[in-house]
Amino acid sequence: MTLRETVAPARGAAAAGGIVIDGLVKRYGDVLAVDGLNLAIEKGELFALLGPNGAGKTTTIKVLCGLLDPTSGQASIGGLDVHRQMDKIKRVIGVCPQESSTFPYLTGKENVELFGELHGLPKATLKERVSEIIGKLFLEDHAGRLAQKYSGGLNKRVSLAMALVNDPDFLFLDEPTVAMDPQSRRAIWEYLKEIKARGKTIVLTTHYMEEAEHLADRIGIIDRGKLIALGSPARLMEANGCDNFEDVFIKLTGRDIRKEEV
Amino acid sequence: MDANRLIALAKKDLRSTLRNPATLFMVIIFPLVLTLAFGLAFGAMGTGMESTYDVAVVDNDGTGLSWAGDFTANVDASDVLNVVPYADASSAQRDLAEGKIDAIVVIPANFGNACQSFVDDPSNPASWTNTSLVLSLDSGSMIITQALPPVLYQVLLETLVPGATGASLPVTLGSPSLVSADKRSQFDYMAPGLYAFAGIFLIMIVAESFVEQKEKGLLKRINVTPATAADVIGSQTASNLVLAAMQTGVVLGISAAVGFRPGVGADAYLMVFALSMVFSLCAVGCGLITATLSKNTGMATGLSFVFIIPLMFLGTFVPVPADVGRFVPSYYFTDAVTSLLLRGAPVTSSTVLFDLAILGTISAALFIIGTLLYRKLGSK
Repeated sequence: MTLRETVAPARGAAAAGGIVIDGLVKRYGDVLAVDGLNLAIEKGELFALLGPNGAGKTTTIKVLCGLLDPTSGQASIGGLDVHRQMDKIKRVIGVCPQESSTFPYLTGKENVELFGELHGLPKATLKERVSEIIGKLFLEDHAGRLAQKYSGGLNKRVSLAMALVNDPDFLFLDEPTVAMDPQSRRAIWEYLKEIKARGKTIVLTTHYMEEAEHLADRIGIIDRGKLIALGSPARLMEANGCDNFEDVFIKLTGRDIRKEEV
Repeated sequence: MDANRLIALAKKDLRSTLRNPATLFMVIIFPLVLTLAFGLAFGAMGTGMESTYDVAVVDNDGTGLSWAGDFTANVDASDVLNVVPYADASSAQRDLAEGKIDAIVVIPANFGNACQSFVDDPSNPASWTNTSLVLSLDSGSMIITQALPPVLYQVLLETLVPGATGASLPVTLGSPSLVSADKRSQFDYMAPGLYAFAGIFLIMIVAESFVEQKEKGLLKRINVTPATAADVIGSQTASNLVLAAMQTGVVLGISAAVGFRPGVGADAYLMVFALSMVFSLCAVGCGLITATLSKNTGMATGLSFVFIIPLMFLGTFVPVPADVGRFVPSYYFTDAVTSLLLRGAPVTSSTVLFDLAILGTISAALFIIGTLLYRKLGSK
């Protein structure tokens, strides 16, 4: 089965309520960051987007979140066009960016509350949601401290809580477990599985192969802006004759060390 | 623009500014310390321009003789005393209370006769017609209270017995009444400029805040929520209005504590607060322009001085020709506050309203330019 044949069946299902990326191109001057990407992610799917540094993962997510305009091509989230209907899309997405973006002079709890308020959550719902997420991400002991005092891993957990506070239907997580210790990472994995079980769609980028292998329903590997592999972790390992996913990744993307992302 | 989102973002901005030691220093501590230091340094000093003393002379002599005129001319001939003729004692008393003059000498009705009786028979005090000069002195001036009575006695002696160093005279100096004059210190003239001075540094705070949030990806995070650019800029404006009010309160409080207490009504103080709010719009506008042009926080700090320096040196308490100051909005702020607090102008006076109109127009223009530039170029 070719890659095109793998993408095609999902397109119909995704168009109904998932994420569809169609011929997406993003160019920064002479640099082609995303090169005609086609991808369909079904509603309720946990999809891992993998690739070496500079492959175009973050750029793709930024286009989907409305932070970048595509050079050409189209994309939609839940049937809403990212170019024309971003106002509606912003109400149903949660984004945890690669950098640990928390407001340093707000406490962890205030950071999370702020994003709930920006999503217009009613006071009672906000209180409930903040309390629940702080508990789920094991932030109770730190929520009252200023974020500037947090370690990298703690900051990342607060950043994740900020993305989750509005209970988004579509969650974009750009390397969400970077700088976390194994215990925290496992806790996040369990919470992400719980969120997925509630029918939420999650798009995840990560450099931790075991994370993708453990969590993802399907994995897409992109390199130099193009999708080079797509399928479930088991299927990709089988197709490439590997018994762990890191070997699959190295086999498909090579051993060369890449330059940093654009 | 959504009110709930705007309030949430404004709360975030205020917390971030007041919890960050660096910005807290610039917004509150710096104006507080500056006002305190200037108040203590210059509050006890006069205007620094006083080298002669104005003495009001109320001539009640009705004798037709020339002695009162001679005495007045001799007072005026002194290097340090300047005679200001007054027709009546009450207007002279009012001006002394307001600090416009330093002393009053009332020449009594029989002054001419007393002088003439002395000249006619200087060695026979029994033949003299006795009288007294009535003195009122500014109690706040040590020079006037200590030096003026003996100086006046010497002038009187010189008038009646030229060249004499001492003699009994039929005219004595009455025990002076001391009047507490409402005098201005150098600090009083600086205080209105200090209000502007404090507000000017909001430019740096706004610029650094936007650029830092941009650098750390925080603005992007907000951009992926339903919050709009108008919410973000509106919240910065709202939080800076609050900061401007806080600054004005701090400077007013500290300047009052160090002696600057203009006897004006609450309406004047309310107008000072209103002027501060309008001026803070100007600071937000300049801050947004700076943020648009800056690639990082360090650059924002440096570039903000392109606005801060002229606003500070041409429109606050630094003495510059008014023609130069008219080019900067802080001049109109300082001038309006000076009119309200020092000149006693009512809030509806043409001077204050004119300054407010010019300040409002410039601030609105800078705010609109800053907002448009930032939305088009700065938020990318």
